[in-house]
Amino acid sequence: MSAWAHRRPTTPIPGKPPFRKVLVANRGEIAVRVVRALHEMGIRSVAVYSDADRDALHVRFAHEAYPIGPPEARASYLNIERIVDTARRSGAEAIHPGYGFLAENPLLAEACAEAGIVFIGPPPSAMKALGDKVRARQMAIEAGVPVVPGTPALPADVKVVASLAAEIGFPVLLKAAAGGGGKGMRVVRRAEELPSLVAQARGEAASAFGDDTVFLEKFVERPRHIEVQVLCDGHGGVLWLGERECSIQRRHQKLIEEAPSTVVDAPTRERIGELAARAVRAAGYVNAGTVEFLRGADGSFYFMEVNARLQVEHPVTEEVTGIDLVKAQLEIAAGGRLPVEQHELELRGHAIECRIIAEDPARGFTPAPGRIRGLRPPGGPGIRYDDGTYPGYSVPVFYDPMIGKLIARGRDRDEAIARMARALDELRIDGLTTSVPFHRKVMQHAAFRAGDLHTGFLEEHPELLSPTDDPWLNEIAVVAAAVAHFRRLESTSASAVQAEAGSAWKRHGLAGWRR
Amino acid sequence: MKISAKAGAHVLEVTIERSNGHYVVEVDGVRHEVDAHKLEADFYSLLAGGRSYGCRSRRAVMPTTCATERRSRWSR
Repeated sequence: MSAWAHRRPTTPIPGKPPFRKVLVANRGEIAVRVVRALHEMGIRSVAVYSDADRDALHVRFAHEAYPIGPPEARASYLNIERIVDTARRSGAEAIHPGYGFLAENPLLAEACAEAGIVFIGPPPSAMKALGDKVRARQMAIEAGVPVVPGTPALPADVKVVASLAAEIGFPVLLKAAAGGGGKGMRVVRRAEELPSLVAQARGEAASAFGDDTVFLEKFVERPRHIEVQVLCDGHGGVLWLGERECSIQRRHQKLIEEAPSTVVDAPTRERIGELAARAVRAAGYVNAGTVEFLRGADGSFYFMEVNARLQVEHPVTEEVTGIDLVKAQLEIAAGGRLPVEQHELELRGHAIECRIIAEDPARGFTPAPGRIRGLRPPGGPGIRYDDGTYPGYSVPVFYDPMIGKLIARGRDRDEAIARMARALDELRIDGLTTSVPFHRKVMQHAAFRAGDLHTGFLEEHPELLSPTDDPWLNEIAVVAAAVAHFRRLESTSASAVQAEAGSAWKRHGLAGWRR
Repeated sequence: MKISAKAGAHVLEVTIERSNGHYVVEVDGVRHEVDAHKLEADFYSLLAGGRSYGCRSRRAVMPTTCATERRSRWSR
């Protein structure tokens, strides 16, 4: 019997690493992404994991890994005390929160400060200001950043709410003050819908964020979601890194992102970049953040919110700027300066990201966790696949079902789309229902190829969500099953073949081919 | 060998035999000459009519299922 183990790489890059050891307070692909950046910088990595994640890739990749509790996120990945204690006991100098979980929770940043640990993210004061959407909106107004016409926090009196909505004009959008990810969000098209939808939004906001505060905004028809990546250092430097278009969404969750946007020219890019810089400066922001805008059909940009963290879609910005945003976060958190000056920033080519999710688009994107029986990631020119899985890995039911991100880069948008389509054909994930077939269809869709995007794209093109019924592939599935069965029978003894050939297929059938 | 295959709601008559290192599979009278190579435990590379497919079969107690993957969009 022999045992084999490999040493985790700690190849230092030239210069002194900003930290000696960093704990990654997250899981899945983003934990793997951060661990990779740490290793490239010669920093030792510390993973944490719940009982459901003992076999996760980030645990295998990190230098050290510690359990933090049961599968439920509340008891593990959201357990601030446990995470900070683990950081302290492991000797980590800093905590990277990734995205989701505690990434925008100022209590973690405060707990880090109390424990003498660096939080790799914005200061708690900026997180508090920007995390409250009502305050953030007011801050944007004061900084001269245009906002969608709207209200402050809604009072309890439904008559007052009705008059506020009428003042703005229907349709209006209900939003949770503490929210994100579409939670507590409702479109109200008629006055009579208002009382029940306000109650629903309040209930959803209370259960998701522990705060039932909601407010109203004018609902912009056929809007595009366009966001600007920013980096701010602790020396007053602010850098905007161009925009990302994230208009392909379902239920306010992004599915496909790209950089640059097809409707943003250089002067507009500079204008919204400066608006974004103004918004984060007003909040005293430090580290990586994203300023989200709505773009109306008339070309107007409206401030939506600031995401005080790294975004899922950060790779498309990395691909067109050449700047590693996670490394920049680490350098800035250690007191470093911005990686480049604004005038040095150069945007090159086009990048698209497809979120690979263990969900069934044909069934309203219902989660479809399970075991990955086979995995073949795509490769070749311009392709990057960020994931946290491997063959044999079971996607847990407890967390977000996103299992990876496929990113394609090209000289221009056409080449990026062609590479993405090719990579999606190469990508093989067996054992799970995923969003891959959906993405294939989007890449071939005329409206997507024309860049005719808006956040209601999927409602406008429901054919993208229907299952593909290809009779030819179905027939090949039957052929393949017959061959597989025939070979199995061949490998058994002659007498067993005789016995099975006469009955087994009639008995068991060849039911339920799948693609 | 003759088998009855249930595919979704349809029951198909399938015959399969070996011929010169290939498989000849007839599905409801439609003949396929198939070159099948087993690449992994339950994963096959199939060449049929010049087209390339990757197919993973799964043998459950009941029923047996098979997933196909279109290997090359452009070759069809």
